[in-house]
Amino acid sequence: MVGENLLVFYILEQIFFWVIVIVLNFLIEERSVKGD
Amino acid sequence: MISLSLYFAFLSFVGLWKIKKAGNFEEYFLSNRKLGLFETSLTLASTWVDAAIVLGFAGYCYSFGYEALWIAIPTSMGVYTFSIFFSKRVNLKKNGFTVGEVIRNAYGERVSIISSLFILLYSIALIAANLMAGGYIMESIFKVPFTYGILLTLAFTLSYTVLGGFKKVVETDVIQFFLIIIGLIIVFFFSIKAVGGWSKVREIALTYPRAFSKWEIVSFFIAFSIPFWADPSFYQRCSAARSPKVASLGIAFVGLVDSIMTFISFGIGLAGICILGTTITPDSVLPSVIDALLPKVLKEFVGIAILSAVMSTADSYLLIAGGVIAHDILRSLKVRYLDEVKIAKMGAIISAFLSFLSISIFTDIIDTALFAFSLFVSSSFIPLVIALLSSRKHDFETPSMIGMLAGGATVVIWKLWGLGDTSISVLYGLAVSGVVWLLLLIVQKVKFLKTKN
Repeated sequence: MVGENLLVFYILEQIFFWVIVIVLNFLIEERSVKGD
Repeated sequence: MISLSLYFAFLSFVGLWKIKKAGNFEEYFLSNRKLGLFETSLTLASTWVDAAIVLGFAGYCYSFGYEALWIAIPTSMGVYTFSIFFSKRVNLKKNGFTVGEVIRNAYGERVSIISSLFILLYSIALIAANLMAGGYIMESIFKVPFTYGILLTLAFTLSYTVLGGFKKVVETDVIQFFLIIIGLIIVFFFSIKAVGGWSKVREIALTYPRAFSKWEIVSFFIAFSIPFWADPSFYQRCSAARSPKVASLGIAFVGLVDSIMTFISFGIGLAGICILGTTITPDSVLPSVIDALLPKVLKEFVGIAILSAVMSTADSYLLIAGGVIAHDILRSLKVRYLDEVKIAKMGAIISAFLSFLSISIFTDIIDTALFAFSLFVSSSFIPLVIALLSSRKHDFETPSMIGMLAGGATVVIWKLWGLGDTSISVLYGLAVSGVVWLLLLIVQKVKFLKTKN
């Protein structure tokens, strides 16, 4: 992967992770995360 | 100079206004875990944008064009995966709000003290890197002699950190965040305008040859993503957040700010080729562009903005260093003759002094940051991830302790003996730490099976 493709990949990476963050925090039921 | 004095006066006002004496360590260090989304996001982002990102990445883009994104891509992965997999766990750990404490709860006092010493060294080196940057900014933009510039930066950062604790660090971080963003956007637009638009920047970027081999790219992916799963400022902020969701979104916001900074640095770095030629030292591209393009008043404003980036990172690591000394080292050694808040404040002052002294050892900002980064990751990463994810931690005490020492020692030896580029030392440190950990675990298991039989 070279040149502008890297920039495109970087932008897609940002979108991908934000979709996951939004889905995990807003769209699905709060999963129980184990604390102390 | 007038603008600089005004900025310091303003910071002093915010920093010292309505200081309330912290009742206990949790109030001083975590502001009683009441941080909302706005404050969590901005304090994280403000700490994230440090001397290495502001000065270093613009220089990397100047040197390597699009290929510099081989660092930005894994960095984003590290930040977002922390948000997705770790931030909520850290927030819910009511008895573990420093990295050292998470390790103490998992493996006991001995491992915790060693881990804390490495985190302390990491923090001191990062404070030193940012103080150096403060000295350069003061020298090039405000014409204050380098050493006086460092001392001024240190004195102001230390005063509000020690007197106000985390609450004041957050309040000043919020102001500093907006200063940094506005300042860098101004430089970005001046740079793009000076070279004739974004199409010209693209044109310059396409002229660069391939810069990195496959193995270098692999090492970037390890060195620039995994370390963020063990970042002490992430741990502290996530612990201080009001809820797990706030912690997760706050970290994700860092990813967003990082991507904006990446674009800005990319534009400024490549415009630097047209504006300054190809012979400038990469680290000095940003201040040189500011000096070449901006009118006097704006130059001073942007200088203050970058100084903000430096101070907001230094203040966080001063706080972390003080916390490590008080909460992780002295408490583990059962030193209880002073209250924890006082020890944390004294710890911050001692760390500031050590950082100032260590500046004479280091010569370069990026190299200092890389050393700190590699030392911390090589020593603490494996035990920390196991502490967060595994339920059979008691099995791992000895392997973790020896693995930690071996990984940290590898990075120190690598640096002192000049065995190669500092950026690769994290790979060797992690490899040594991992191999030692695994071997000791196998030996432990074999011994256990023999005694059982």
